[in-house]
Amino acid sequence: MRLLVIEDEGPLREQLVSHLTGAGFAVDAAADGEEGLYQGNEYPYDAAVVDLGLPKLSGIEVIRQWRAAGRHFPVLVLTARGRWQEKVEGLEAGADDYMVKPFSMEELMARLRALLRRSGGWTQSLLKCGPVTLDMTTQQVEVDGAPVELTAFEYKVLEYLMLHDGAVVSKADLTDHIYQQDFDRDSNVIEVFVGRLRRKLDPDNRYTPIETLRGRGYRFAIARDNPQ
Amino acid sequence: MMSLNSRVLLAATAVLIIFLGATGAVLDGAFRTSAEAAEHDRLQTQVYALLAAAEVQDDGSLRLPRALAEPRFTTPGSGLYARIVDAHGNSVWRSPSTVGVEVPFTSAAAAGKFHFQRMPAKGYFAMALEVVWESGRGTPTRYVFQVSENDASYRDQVGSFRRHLWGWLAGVAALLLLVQGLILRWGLAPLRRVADDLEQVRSGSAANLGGAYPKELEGLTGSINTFIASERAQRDRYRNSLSDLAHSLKTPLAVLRGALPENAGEAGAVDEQVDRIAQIVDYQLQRAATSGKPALATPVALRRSVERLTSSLTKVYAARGVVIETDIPDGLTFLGDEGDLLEVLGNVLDNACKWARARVHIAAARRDESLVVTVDDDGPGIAEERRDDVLRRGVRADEQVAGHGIGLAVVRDVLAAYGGRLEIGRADGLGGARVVLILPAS
Repeated sequence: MRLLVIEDEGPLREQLVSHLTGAGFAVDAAADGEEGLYQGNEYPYDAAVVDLGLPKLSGIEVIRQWRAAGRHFPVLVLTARGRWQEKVEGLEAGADDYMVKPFSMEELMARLRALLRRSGGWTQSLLKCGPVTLDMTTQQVEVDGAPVELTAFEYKVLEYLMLHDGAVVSKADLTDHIYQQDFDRDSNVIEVFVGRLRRKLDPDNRYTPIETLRGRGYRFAIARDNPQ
Repeated sequence: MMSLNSRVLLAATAVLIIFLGATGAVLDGAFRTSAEAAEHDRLQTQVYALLAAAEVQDDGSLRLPRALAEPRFTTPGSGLYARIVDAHGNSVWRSPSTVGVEVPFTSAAAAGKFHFQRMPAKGYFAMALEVVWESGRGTPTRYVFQVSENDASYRDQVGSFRRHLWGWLAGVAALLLLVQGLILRWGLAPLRRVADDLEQVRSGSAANLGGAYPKELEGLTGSINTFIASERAQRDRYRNSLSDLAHSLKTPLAVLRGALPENAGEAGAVDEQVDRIAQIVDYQLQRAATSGKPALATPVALRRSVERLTSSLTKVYAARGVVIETDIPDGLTFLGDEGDLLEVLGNVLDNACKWARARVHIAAARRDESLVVTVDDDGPGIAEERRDDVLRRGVRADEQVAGHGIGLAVVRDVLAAYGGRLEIGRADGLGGARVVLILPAS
């Protein structure tokens, strides 16, 4: 999951980046509205955290321009004032949720996960596809009820594929959504992660949860249990 | 205070009455003078005619022919009478018209001089002329020729003239007043337009005085527009600086909270204090930002504001699947700041959504002079003994705040600024809490 954080206050921005990175997200940060707008338009983010009181271009304007340009990733806005007029304007501009400063990092994380689930069409934090279960809150993965140990990157790849189950996800997409901007795109590290995931999830080749579509990418092939 | 219209009309009427009254009096006097002069001439002519007709006999006595040139002298009671008296005052001749009529005659002043007299009490004009004739025997004899005429025709003339004169003057006065009224109406139209435009600004259907005004009024309308603009700018500036203040106070709090190590011993206490500071800042800024009913308010459509909030809240509570039903008739308006209305409704609806199991219902109606908004939910409701606590939360800075949210306290304060109030009860249909907002209607 790749996130964009736009916050002008340096210390708060660093805290957000470090908390979110610690929680397993790939995080890019911008310090003002213009830079944030550019990044949001340029890279495929899964969600964004946007402060409303930004220099150069207000948060509301940033969101409005993203939406006008067809960028539909979920946006969580941070507001200092907490006046309803501000919240409503933010949500009308295209934001999906808001938090009033000073917020708690845990709640921010929970809200972000909820937004990401919703954007993948899931309503619960427990993603179940046949024998495979992924809990977005605890980041635990089980196959047939038995826990599977995954590294952080393996988890990210699986989470992304399961959130978009049934859809073809290209290698470039995965790279974009799992790594920050400075990642070396030519490496075949994604193939390595997918190979390891297959071995861990399906050592006996019974389910083949992840299909490879030659030249196009990967697909999580087991249908979700609670399609909504 | 007397209106401009009445002042000008009153003054114009007074001037008109004085002017037309004086004109009438002068014209009336002039007409009477000229009518009397005409009467004088007429009687003089009659005296000359009698003089011409009279013949002095050799014995000095006077003789007049039976038929006179003027037929009115021979018709009894005709209104024109004549008499000739001698030096001793004895009547030597009377015109046949005097038969049976008591006619007043005047006496002559000096020989050869006409004496003219009006006798209004008796209703006659009278003239006398004394002549001295030499008879055949050379003794001079004095006679006084007296002619009197009834003044009925004179009075008729004057009366008819007066009727015409005053009739016309009254007509002219009415016409002038009408014209004056029209001129006033036309002349004062720009003032009326300014008043109408101001009313539009006050009721919010116009932003400022936008029309074209005569240059005498431009100073005034310009000043009013400047005032309106500066009042709005002032309010915006105030709001913005409050926003900046909130930002600069709460961002450090967010940093402080983010920097707390998780689950460390002191972290909980610090976290709680950060919460309190944030709530106090929120509450006090909210109080400062509440404008209350401004002089130049724009009516805010209640339904539109509720729709904005419900679509926002539906987004935020999407995961919980709360359904917000609205029952707001068109045409209900709130006369005040839209931000304040959103603040009140937003807090109440947010609370309802937070506690609701699945449904929130918002309805509004106009009751007498009030706008009544009712928000129901199907949550657990608020126990009767806790209702006061809910409202008092966060009111005093030194008070320990239990739980979260100062929402309803903010709502109560904003409502109070508008002269409204808040009631908490139980929702009849849905079974949860009911919050009733009572606002003075526009």
